Amino acid sequence: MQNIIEMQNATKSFGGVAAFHDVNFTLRKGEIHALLGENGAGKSTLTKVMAGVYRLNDGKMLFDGAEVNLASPSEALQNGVAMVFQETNLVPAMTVAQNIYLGDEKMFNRLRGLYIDARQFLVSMGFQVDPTAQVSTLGAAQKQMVEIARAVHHNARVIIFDEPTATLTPEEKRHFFSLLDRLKAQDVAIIFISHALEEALEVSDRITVLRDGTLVASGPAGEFTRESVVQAMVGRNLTETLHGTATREPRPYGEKVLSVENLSSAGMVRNSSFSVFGGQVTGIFGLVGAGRTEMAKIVSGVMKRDFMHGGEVRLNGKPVRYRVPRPAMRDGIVYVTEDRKHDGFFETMTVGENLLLSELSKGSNPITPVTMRRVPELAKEWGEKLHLKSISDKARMIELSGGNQQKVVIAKSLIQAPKLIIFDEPTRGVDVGAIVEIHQLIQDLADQGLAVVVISSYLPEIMAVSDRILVAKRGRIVEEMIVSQASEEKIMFAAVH
Amino acid sequence: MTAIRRFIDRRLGRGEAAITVPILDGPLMPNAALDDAEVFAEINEVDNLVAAEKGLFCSSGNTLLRLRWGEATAEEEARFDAPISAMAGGKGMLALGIEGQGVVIRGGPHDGLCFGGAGETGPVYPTSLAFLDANTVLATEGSDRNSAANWRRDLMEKGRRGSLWRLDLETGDATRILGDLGWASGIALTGSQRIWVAESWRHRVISVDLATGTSTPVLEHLPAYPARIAPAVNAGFWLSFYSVRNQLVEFILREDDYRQRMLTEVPEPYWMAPALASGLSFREPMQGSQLKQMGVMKPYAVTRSYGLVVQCDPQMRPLRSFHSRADGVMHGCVSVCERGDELYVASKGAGRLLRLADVAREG
Repeated sequence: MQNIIEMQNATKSFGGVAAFHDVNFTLRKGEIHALLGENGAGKSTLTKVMAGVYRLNDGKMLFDGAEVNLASPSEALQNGVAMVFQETNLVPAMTVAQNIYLGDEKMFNRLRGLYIDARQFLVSMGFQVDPTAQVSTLGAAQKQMVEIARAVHHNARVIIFDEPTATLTPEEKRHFFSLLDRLKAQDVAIIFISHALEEALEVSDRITVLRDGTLVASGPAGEFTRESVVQAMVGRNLTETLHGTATREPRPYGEKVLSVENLSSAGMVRNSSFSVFGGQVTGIFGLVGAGRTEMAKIVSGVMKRDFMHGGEVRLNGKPVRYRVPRPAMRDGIVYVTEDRKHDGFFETMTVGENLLLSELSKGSNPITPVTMRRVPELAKEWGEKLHLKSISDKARMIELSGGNQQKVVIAKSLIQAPKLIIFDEPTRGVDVGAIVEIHQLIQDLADQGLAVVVISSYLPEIMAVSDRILVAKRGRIVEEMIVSQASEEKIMFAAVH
Repeated sequence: MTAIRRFIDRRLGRGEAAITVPILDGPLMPNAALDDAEVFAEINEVDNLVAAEKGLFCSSGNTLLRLRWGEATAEEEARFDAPISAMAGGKGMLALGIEGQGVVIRGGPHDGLCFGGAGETGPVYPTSLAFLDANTVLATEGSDRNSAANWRRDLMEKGRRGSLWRLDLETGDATRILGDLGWASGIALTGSQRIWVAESWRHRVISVDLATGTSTPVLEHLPAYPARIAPAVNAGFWLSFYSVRNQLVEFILREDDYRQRMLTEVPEPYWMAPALASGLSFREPMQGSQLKQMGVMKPYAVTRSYGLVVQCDPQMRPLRSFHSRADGVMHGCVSVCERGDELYVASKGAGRLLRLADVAREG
């Protein structure tokens, strides 16, 4: 098979710090190539060089046998290289169809025709997205679908997917993988960055593993096992503690901390009831649109329930109704967002500054006011507690890896000294090393007696961290299981039927 | 301000006007343990279980029965003019609550002593009894107007006429400790001056200080109407329930005009109200537990009767539960009694005495 992209001794550094160095990488026509590695291993930077976002400092890149130096993403796109970014690059104020056809408009566009074309195109890819919907109203998974549709629409010869399945449900993933097969049959080369190792092993033809900016392994997918990939990625054996491998007895029920009764909100949450107990991890599983995130947001004051007959939320037996998150935080409820880049932190601020904001939100004390002097103290204190690995004390959040960013978001919540902590997709876009640490942190919080809720679309994660599992479907909780009696099949059956 | 708040709550369906119901989850997660349990004996309207050396005492309407340990045949011990509504054993005595006739003591030094009968002070319609010591009995009365058998009427009338009594067997004095309770139905001792009392229509168990008569809730906001409380071998308690709550009944309780008409115009078996058993007549409201047809949840087919027994720890925190769901038959489990590793459950709705083996050991 002929190479379409070839990187020879490629090096890229930022401010003297190498993102990757001396990498020799080849991508063949019509293959699915999985690019794996921990956060900060250099995967995204390597692919961004291919997509024209960055230029190499050293080495060269060949495209179809000829050396190229792509100056911009649009130039890369003209050459047939499209990238679907981890953080979506859609225009929120425009509709789905307008985003798909953005940059490809005719002189006179008929909106109705555009919508019909877009609908046919989306259906052909198996994506259930309304082309007339404004992008800002879509959930994370649907935005991802639009992003993928846009890349496919540009007839790219190389498509780079950065964590494409992180926000997709199992059914949507199946559609996505069949789409990859169809693209592959059309001789399109695909780079597939994922932290879901099973997916990479299943769908890819070849696998390349990066660690600390160095290519440590590359070869046909059949030559790798899950353990060998993990070993190559982290340089240590994590199989004992990763998803689904740990077996333990569920913790007993503590005090009932939260009671949600007949909660309703704008058709997204419909007469939903559930309880959360202290000293336990309650996992909530459901497909996208099941209303899990909305339930959590209503409980934590991020969203409002219906004004009339919206149900009751009781915290320690007392009815509560939050219009904003601040009183909820003061009562000990914190919500760790699923969309950390958008809602979790200020990306141009440092770790300490972000943590300081969280401390400020606890309320001011006139005797010992919170000042900027706390910034380095907070960064040091929580950096040690959560094993944060930032480049320097003054590193901005945007420069941190996904795993470290997530740890900062968690630290911001823990500063509030919560009684009930809700994690929404806590390990989305996080490397395997950080996943283990975050899972351990969740267990430690439950052991300390906190009521912990973990919302996840990833079944092995739900099975690994939860003591009891609730299954959400179409805006309500439809099933409850003790983890020792649960299986992935039972959970999925409840979520679908 | 309270009136304004109440008016707003009623319009918006919030606060006391909310027709929300807590869910059966966590330690109350439904199972079929009561339906799977061994049927030890079939006794019509079996109720009021008391374990004694001589055997297991129980009531069936007006009759006091005894089952020798290990035998499923019931022997008649005594017969009364009215149904037995409460019973407690201790110190070689039996205290019996007789509907409309108060409390009668059988056996021991106070044999034949009566409280609450005609012209006497004391609970007229006792719902539960407990021996505090050899000379004192504690009693609850669901209502001074509705008999224990008329618990459904009292619920639909939103009764708040329940009371807690101390009966002094030496002096014959009956003292009302606490009043205005929403159907006091169960009582249990804790070994101190504080006792637990089940207050059914407020869906809670309260702790009452016998010295001062003050009460504080210990287990609130239950998803069912609590009935009697029995001590467990492991220092905890067994809590039994009349039936589960549902949104339709909560709604009817809010709609005063509709409820009044239902009480006056509709025969009691056909009320849309909780029951100890259901499916006895086609005229009854449907027992469907959220029956779904053509994808639509039928709101009239809620659970009316249900079997529920909950094991609680010494602080009255639920640990685990045994259920007979809407599709089961062992409903209306209003009395339980533990002996050794076995738990006896009286399913009054089904007329069956159930035995759950090795329950205490598993707990």
